Formats: sequence, C-alpha cells, structure tokens
Amino acid sequence: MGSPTADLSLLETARAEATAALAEAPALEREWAGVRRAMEERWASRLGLAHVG
Amino acid sequence: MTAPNYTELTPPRQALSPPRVPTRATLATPVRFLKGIGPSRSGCLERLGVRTVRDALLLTPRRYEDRRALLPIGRLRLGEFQTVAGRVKAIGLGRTRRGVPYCEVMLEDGTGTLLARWYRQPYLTRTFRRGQRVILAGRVSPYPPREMVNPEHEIEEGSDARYHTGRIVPFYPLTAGLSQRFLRRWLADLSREHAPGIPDPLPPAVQERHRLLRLAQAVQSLHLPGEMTEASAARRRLAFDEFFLFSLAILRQRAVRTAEAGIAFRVPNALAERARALLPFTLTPAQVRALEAIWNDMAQARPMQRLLQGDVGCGKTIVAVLAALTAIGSGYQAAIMVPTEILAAQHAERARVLVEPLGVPVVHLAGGTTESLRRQALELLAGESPCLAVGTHALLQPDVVFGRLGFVVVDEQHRFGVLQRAGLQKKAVHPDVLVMTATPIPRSLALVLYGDLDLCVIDELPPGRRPVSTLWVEEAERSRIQAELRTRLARGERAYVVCPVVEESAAELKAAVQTAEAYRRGPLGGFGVGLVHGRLPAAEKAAMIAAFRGGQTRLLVATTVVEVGMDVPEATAMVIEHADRLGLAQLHQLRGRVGRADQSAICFVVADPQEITEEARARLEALVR
Repeated sequence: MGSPTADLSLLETARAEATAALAEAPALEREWAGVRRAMEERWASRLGLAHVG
Repeated sequence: MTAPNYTELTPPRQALSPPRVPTRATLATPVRFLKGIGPSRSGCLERLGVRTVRDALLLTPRRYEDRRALLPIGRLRLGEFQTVAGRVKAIGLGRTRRGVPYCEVMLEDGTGTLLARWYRQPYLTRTFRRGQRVILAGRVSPYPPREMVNPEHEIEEGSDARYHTGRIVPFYPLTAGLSQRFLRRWLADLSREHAPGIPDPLPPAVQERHRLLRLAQAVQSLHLPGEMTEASAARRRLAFDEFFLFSLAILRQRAVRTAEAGIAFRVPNALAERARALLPFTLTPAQVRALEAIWNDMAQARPMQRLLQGDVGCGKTIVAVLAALTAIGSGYQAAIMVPTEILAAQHAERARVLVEPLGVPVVHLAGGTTESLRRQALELLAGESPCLAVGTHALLQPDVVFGRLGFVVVDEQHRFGVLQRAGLQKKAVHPDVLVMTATPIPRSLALVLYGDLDLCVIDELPPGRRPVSTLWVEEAERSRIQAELRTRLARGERAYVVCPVVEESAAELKAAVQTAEAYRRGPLGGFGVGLVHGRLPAAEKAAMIAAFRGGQTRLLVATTVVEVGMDVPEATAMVIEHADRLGLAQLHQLRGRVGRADQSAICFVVADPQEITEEARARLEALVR
C-alpha cells in the first residue's frame, strides 16, 4: 500500500504510534482490540516467522 | 527505421460485461462467490492478492488520471507527461534498423495529430481499428512532431463510459486476463456497496492526531475520488494502517524473542582472534565496529537477530566468518546460507584457506554436490563436532540435520524468502542469526523495515577501492565499449558481459549463447571468452569461473547468475546489455562485481533511450548519477 521510501515519515509516525500503543496496552486490549484483530488477520500466518527478518 | 506498413484491421472482440455485486456478500466473502466472478477471474484476482471482498476493496490503484477535461492534441505541451484523447486515423506495423518490431498509431481530433509508437508489442496492431476513440497517457516527445513512445492506452467504447471518462479515473495493477476497464467498474460498484459498512479498527484519537480519513471514507475515495486530494488522503490512511499493523507485529515479535533463552558464546574468543591475526589485511574501522557489535550480542544469553548492511565489496563476509568462528570456538556449528551456487563455492573455497589451517572443517553443500561428498557432509553435520557449513538452499533439505547448530548467517537477504530463512533457523534451538544485505537503504528506513533486527552498518570500503565509473551508452556507441574492453583485456584485466534473463529459459539463454559466440568470433575472441548461466552443469560452471579467475579466459559472458558474490579482483569492466530490463537493486549488485581491487573500473549500461519505459529511464539515470 505505502512505499517505505516515498512514505518514510508516515512509516516512522506509524511505528511511533505502534510503540506507544504497546506501551499503553501490551496485549492490545480495550480500545485496541480491533487493531489486534486486524493485525492478526493481516499478519497471523507470518507472525511466527517475523523474527527471522 | 523502416516505414510502417499501414493496414486496416479487424475490430477487436467485445469485452465481457462486468458482473453485478450480490447484496448479501460480506467483507470476508471470497470473491469467487460473487456474481460474474468465475474460477477464471478469481484466479486472475488471486494473482493480485485479491481473495475476499475486503482484499478487493483495499486493492490500491497505481495512479489516477484526471479525465474531467482531456487535452486536445493541438494543445499538448512538448516534453511533458499528459493524457489525450483522439480518433485512430491509421495503424501500422514497422521494424527498427535493429529489427525491433513496433506498432504505430496515428491519432487525430480536429486540432492536430499525434503519433504513438509501442516497441516490441506488434500484437497491438490487432487491438486498434480506424475511427476508434482512444485515450493515451505518456510523455510527449521534446521536439515536433508530437509523438509518444510506449504510452498507456485505453479504447473508449461501450455503455460503461461513465466509469472511464468525465471523472478522476483510477489505474489498477493488472495481470493477464483482467482488463483495466473491468477492474475499474467492478471496484467502483463494490466500494459503493461495501465501503460504508467497513469497520474501522483505529481508535478515533489516533485518527484525529494524524488527521486520517475514516476507513469507510478512505475506501470509497480510493476507488471513486471526487478530487485528486481525496485520492491521496485515502492512500495515506490505508498506508498508515499497513505500516501501523506491520510495526505492531514486528515489535510484538521482538518482545517475544528477547524473552527467549539463547546461547552465550565465549567472547573474546581465541579461535576467532587467531583467524583475525592470520588475515593478510587489517579490518577497516567500520568492520571492527560491526564485529564488536555482533560479538557483544553473541556474548548475551538471548538469541541475536542482527542485520549487517554494507555496500558491495565492503567486507561483510569476513566479519560474518569471524563471528561464525566465535560460535565454532565455543563448541557449536555455524552455517552460512547464500543465494547462488557460485557464491557458495567461492565462500567455501575462501573459508577453507582461512579456517582449515585452524583445524575447523568446512562443509560445502550445494545443489551440484556429488552423492558421496554429500553423504560425508551430512554425517559431519549430524554429529556434534564444531564445523562451518556453507551452502545454498541445499542446506534447507529435510535430510540436512545439524547436531549442534548455534550460529546462522543468511547472506544477501533479499534473495531469500522469509520461509527459507526460517527453515534454516529452525534447524537449531534459538540460534544467533546474522542477516547480511548490500541493498543500499538509508539507516532510518532500515531501522523501520527491519524493526525486529538490530542493525549495524559497514560504511566504508577497504583502502584503495575507487568508485566504478558508470556510463549509459546506446547501441550506436558500441565501438566505444569495444575499445575500452580491448585496452583493459590487453592489460590482463577481466571483463563481464551480462545478458539479462528472467527465467533462464532455453529461449532466453539463446541470447547469452549467441552473445558469447559473437565475442568469440569478434576481435576480442583472442583474449578467451567464457559463458556461464543458470542451466550450466555445476562442474562446467565451476570450470568456467576458474578459467576466468585464472585469466585463461579474460571475458565472461554471463546471465545474472553473477549478480551476487562473484569476487574476481582483476575484473575491472562490465557491460550490462538491455540494462532497462533489470531493477535498480540488481543493477547495483551487478556493478559491484567490478572495481574490487585498487584499479579503476568501468560499467557500461546499454539501453536505447528511445525504446525504454519512463521507469527504466529513471532507474538508469539513478544508476549513472
């Protein structure tokens, strides 16, 4: 969707928001529940692989 | 260029009418169940990553065109990218002097005429017919008469014209079997139906903080923007979601990883220090910094996940080998996985010179390894003795079992899929992993893209290395290339001639074989001409490379198999044929094969500016800049 090069500042903003969200709700509970579902739908099959780069 | 042969052609087949969307579909409904999307179309859509209604709604246009008012031909500005409509006056098929076929169409609209030409697409002569109204988007030639080369085209006909003109029109990525017009109409209808009900996961506070559109509005504006600004706001919201969800996923994964138990290797390590002392050169300060960062991680009792980034030729591999020896010196096995057999053979050969005198066995596993050698290698790996394994994806075979794997290096990370990297990592319990890349991305971008990896950078070349001069030359300047090659080969230097192929198919390889033959018969034939490509048997390939390295053949014609890792210090010249067919990262990698010593080096990229796309032009301009 976004281009990591052309949209770098948006990417950095999104990453900062993600860091703040995890600090506020490490399990992505309460108002973040919808975000958690969306993340799992989008990345579930790859979550187990994310730490290989 | 020969004159095109103008003919009157038969009308094209009428496109199938796009389907209507059933009202009971939900966002999770597979598109194959939608009316009008049969197995054939759903297969095509799947190639674009579209399986469900939700996927379809999030299919992002590549670009938009404002067709609320198209320019008349007479008002086109020379040298600018513009969109224009007119009627087809004539259609022709021609060939350039080099035999490249092209389709040529003359468009008129009462204010003037415009000539459009598409190279290597002769079949387009069957697409157009006289009198048709056609919309073209492309760059107008900088000088009169007005011409466009390889413009995007669209034939305007049928009852659904309102989807395609008189509005801001989206252009979607396409695949064989799907037309722009079909996608445009289908997605417009689908978004009208489903966008208003799409749930928005992002808390309102985040949306307000960053002035993001609501998701429903973004999806609708993506496909049916009223203004260009709406389209870009829609894209911004959807890109934010993608980046945000991706960042959450990798940050959570990083938290999981740091909680895992890993191996605390012995640092400082006597074996690694002995190897370092034996090196015939001194590590650069940047290499030392990277090595220290890696050693610091390796000493911790949690799994290292580190990205080592550095330009081609900066010496990443020796850093990786010294780190691997740290694991081996701590009683573990280490594995280096590389993307090509050429690179595996080269790494194994060099590693042997350095580490076998220290008593460390080197196991080389590649696709072409003989059965008996492979059996011996597998036995060694299955035991618990420390050793260094070097190989391609052959390391991932199920029968390759490591008895005590503790350290994994994945070289040229962009050539391996995530699954392949995970495959090697799974052959051990929480090993330390070092991923290496030469892709030149800014540090800030790397930190975000590889958010789950710690990053270190080797930002200097070894002393004496000079940048490679890169020249973009046209076919007509070939004598200049020949003269440069002759001078360099006569001095004993080596040169590559790269013929790009995509699939290494028989038809594509024919071009490389013919090029090699032409060089052998030509004035440079006396210097010895070799040929390597992906389909050559491993032994033959190794012999060709050895002959090139040894100077028996000074000119090597190759496909892009030499892209990664070929390290012949005497190689000082490269010619990349049809450079427009390659991506920037690939061109960068290829160019890195020359200039690996202190001699000056040169790289010629050959492409005819008249016959390439705008994107290819931008890539080549970036490379030679």
